Amino acid sequence: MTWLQAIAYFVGEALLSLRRGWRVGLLAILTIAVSLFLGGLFALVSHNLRGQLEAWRGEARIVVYFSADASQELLIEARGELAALSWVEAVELVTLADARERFGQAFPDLVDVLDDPDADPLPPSLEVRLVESVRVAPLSETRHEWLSGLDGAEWVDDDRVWLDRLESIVRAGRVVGWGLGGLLLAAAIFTISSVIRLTAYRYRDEIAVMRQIGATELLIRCPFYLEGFLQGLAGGLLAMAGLWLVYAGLGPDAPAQAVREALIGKFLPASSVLAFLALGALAGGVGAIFSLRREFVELDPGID
Amino acid sequence: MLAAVIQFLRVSKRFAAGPLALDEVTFEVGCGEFVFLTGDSGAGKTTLLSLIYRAVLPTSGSVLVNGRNVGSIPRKKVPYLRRTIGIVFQDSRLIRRKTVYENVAYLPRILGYSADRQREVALDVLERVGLAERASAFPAQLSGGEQQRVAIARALANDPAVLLADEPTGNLDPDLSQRIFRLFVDAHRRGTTVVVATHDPQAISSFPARVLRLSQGHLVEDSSREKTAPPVDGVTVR
Ligand SMILES: Nc1ncnc2c1ncn2[C@@H]1O[C@H](COP(=O)(O)OP(=O)(O)OP(=O)(O)O)[C@@H](O)[C@H]1O
Ligand SMILES: [Mg+2]
Repeated sequence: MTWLQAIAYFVGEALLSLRRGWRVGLLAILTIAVSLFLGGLFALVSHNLRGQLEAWRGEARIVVYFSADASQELLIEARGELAALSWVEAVELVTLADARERFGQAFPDLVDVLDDPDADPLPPSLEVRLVESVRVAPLSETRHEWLSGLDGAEWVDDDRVWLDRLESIVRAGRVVGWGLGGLLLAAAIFTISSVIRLTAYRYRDEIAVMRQIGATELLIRCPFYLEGFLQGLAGGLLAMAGLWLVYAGLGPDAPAQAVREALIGKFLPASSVLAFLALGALAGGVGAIFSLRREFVELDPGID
Repeated sequence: MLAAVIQFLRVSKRFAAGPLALDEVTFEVGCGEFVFLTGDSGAGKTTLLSLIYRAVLPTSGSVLVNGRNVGSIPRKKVPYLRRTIGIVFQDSRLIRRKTVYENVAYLPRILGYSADRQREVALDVLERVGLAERASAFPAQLSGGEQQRVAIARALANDPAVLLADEPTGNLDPDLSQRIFRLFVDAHRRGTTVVVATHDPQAISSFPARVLRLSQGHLVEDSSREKTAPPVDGVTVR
């Protein structure tokens, strides 16, 4: 048998078996699909959140809020002092009026609240953009203290502090996701191996006959391995199609755009999609190999 | 005597803790011989045939096929031994989900014959058993006798050196049995060594052939030996 004939034989037999036992086969495909879909969802969300966090980090600023009655001269002097620092890239002064305008833009319906004489007025602030080398990590304590010590400074807000907190949550979520995905994948491998074992059991007479007339183990087993592999691949395709539906279905006109954008704004990169397909196929193949490890030997007690 | 195709040298077989299924059986089958293997139920006929194609291993003694000790063939090579032996069982053991043609062409296919050669071989043997026109039927659509003929066609597809049959007519009426036996005789005429296990005394008497008789695991009669030299110990049982 040439390798070409062998491959044609394996594919033919595997497809025949899939066609005949499609009901049990479907069960295997679905379990793989569900586990890869959930794993994919975790990957999709964490992929987007990571991208989002990075973008936010790039934009992260330190805002030094001053008391509402701080004079313009004081603010300008502070700005000069800050701008001179080596780790500061740019400083922007946000006056009372600027703050008001920004608020009005963000919340047009609420701008009247600012006119209430009892309301706390919006404080003026200096928005500090750091040079690239120190942009990632939160501010060191000495620098933080230095900023708080500026004349008239009331409160220093460092974006990176909550970004760090968010990132550790995302990281924890990813660990949970991998764990859950791993468990589901193990369940999927188990299902596939049961399905293959069931198939082999159903055809045990046939397999015994094939052995008796001189088929090698390779010829008998490979169609089963391929069957598992194809089931896993089909499960992976199904999972990725489902994921795409979620991504495309919650399109730009879905509600809560900001949330959508942060969670599933971008689809998984092609390499990840391929990795999930490969994982599915691998799980199917491993399940098949696993299920036929012992089983077959018992079918032909003579070869001992 | 012709070169031996099958040799049993003091072969014993014991399954698990049971009694001996075969007890020190020694005989030879020459190339091109036609042999009936007979004996009561449980005498060891199936066991003897199984030893030839290494479905079971002897407990002691050695079984040689074409001069090769089948017990020492590595496990991976067993399929290659089996490809040189055609086997027919009482229940035809066809693959149900494959057509008659696919069943018969299976061995040529795994042997890597070209598609044309597969067809040629399969149709030729189906022709010999008179079922070429049923090539596309499934086994379930055939009568028991027809299924058995397909099984014989399958066993002959590789032009085996040895054809083994284990009660191939056990489920068939006498007319059909005659027809089946004629197929074995035909294969024998073409040069195949044939060993048929059967209870059927009519078949044995109507086809002149060597008879080996087993009784409780002992070889108690060998008609060829009787002709040349009657057994001295007188254990012949009729
Ligand atoms: N796989 C096995 N396990 C245990 N005992 C077995 C096995 N196969 C055969 N035997 C025993 O070996 C003996 C010979 O059995 P065998 O099947 O060879 O007889 P047989 O001559 O073919 O009988 P029949 O005419 O009924 O087919 C019997 O006692 C049987 O119970
Ligand atoms: Mg028997």
